[in-house]
Amino acid sequence: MGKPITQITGLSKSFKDIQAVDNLSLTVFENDVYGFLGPNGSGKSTSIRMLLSLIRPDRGDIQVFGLNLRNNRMEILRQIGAFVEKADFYEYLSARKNLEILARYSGYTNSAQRIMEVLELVGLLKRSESKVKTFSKGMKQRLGIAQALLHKPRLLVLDEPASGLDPSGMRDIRQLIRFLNEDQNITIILSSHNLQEIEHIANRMIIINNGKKMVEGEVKSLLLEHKYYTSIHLNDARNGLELLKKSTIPFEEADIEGQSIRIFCQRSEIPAINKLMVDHGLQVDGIKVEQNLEDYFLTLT
Amino acid sequence: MLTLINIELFKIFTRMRSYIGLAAILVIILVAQGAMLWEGQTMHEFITKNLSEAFYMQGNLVNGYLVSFLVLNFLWVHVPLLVVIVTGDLFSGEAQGGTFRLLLSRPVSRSQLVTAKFIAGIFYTLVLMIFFAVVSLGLGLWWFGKGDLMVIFNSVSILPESHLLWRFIVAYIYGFFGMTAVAALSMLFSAMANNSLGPILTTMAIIILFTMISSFNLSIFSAIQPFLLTSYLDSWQLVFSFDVDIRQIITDAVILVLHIVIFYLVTLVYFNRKDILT
Repeated sequence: MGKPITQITGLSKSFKDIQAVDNLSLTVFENDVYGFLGPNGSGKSTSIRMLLSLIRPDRGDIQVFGLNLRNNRMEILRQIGAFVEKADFYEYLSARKNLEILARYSGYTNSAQRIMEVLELVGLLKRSESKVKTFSKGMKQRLGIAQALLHKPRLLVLDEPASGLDPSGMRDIRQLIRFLNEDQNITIILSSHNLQEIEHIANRMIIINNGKKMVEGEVKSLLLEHKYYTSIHLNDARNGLELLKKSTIPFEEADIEGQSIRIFCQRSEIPAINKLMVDHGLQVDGIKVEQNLEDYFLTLT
Repeated sequence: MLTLINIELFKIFTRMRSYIGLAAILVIILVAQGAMLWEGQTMHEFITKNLSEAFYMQGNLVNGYLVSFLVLNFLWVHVPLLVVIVTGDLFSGEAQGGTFRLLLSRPVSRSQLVTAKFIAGIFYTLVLMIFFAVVSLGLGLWWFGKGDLMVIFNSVSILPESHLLWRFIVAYIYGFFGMTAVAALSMLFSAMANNSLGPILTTMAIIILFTMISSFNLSIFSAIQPFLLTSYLDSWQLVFSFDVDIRQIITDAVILVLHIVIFYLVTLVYFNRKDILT
């Protein structure tokens, strides 16, 4: 674990009578890929916007690179690249022209080479002169990441970067994030409502709901120590369930759905369940862990 | 700061909507002056019919200065709309398009951004007014030639040709201050809104309402008239009095500048506190 690069303490924000973020605290360490998880409307985007000074917090403190955001906004933003929610650009301008304008906002004057580098990185070099209004959603998302990388940031904040992308687009974004983190040593905060996306990519994560922190820590240990709905597809589900009930394997809420047993258990129990079935001559056709956020929340609340 | 102004100007002048105002001015002036040219003698008779019994008239009465003066009279009411189509969108267009997220998550001072947008908006207004002046006066003088200007306000004044060019220049400069005040008001609303149409319609609604209140000689309105921006928009007409009250023109221009400064400061304070939610 590196040194803390972002520390948020007691952050709160309300809009009229809605408490969007409630006393949120978190720490992101250098070289983390930090997953920021929560369902839609949980306060992720509001928190990220406060981190980027797009929204003024009601209370709380944000320290980035050891500096207080309120007093050192310009210095901090010079080292942050951000992609917030949607890839919106000046549609009537080309990709290159958009990046040129944004580079100038960042204080870059001789940006031509860097613009070509980031366009190549996201696979848009051939479309650099095309107007953004001709781009597909996936291309805009990639351009969104390109603009965030323009000024070689130390910290990259990506808010739902894979939103609306097809599976291959999502895979490309994942690979790019890995490359940026591992090869270029960029610390990344990645917001998502998709637990599997975070699991594949992040080393640490926070889960928030209703603006409050529910859990924060290492992704692997958090996922292992919590329970999930698991479906075990068998040739004889009724017999399989009896076996499970007689065994010492801990599980809850057993149910039969067609040829499957659906139970609520820790992921670490799955190999033992598989062995139990096979040892008793049952044919296991598949085991599926349902890792959606809603189920995960059930284990937290 | 210069970089921000350059970027704002680039954004304005690469958008199609910025040329709508220029095109509209060109078309309206072409149509208006073309019609006057076509009607020629009829128009001369129409203008002089009430005066021909009392005055003996000699020379080129329907000249470039007269048609420019007439165009100025009927177009100054519409120019604000052409200005706010662009200036009313300077902030709200970014909010609606989601591009404020891109800009303000970069090391850009919000105060500097507001200032750059105001300067760019004022520059656009200047371009529009110069275009208006050049097309109106240039085309008028080219098609109709020079001559004295007959002005009928409270009385009939014949302004000699040699005194007209500077009067027109002062009128257009004053018009620029007036239009800049309208532009500043639209930018204030634009900073408050997250859609493009709202600030444009609000500004125009206010200008129309205030113009009505400013124009009515009713005692109920007289108390508030001095505080309305629109009470000072038409003071360019004072330049065409026989004896120009330059003190009054300067006072009215200063009041317009005060409006611009106040709108700018309110925008600055508001925008610095604004949460970017789009």
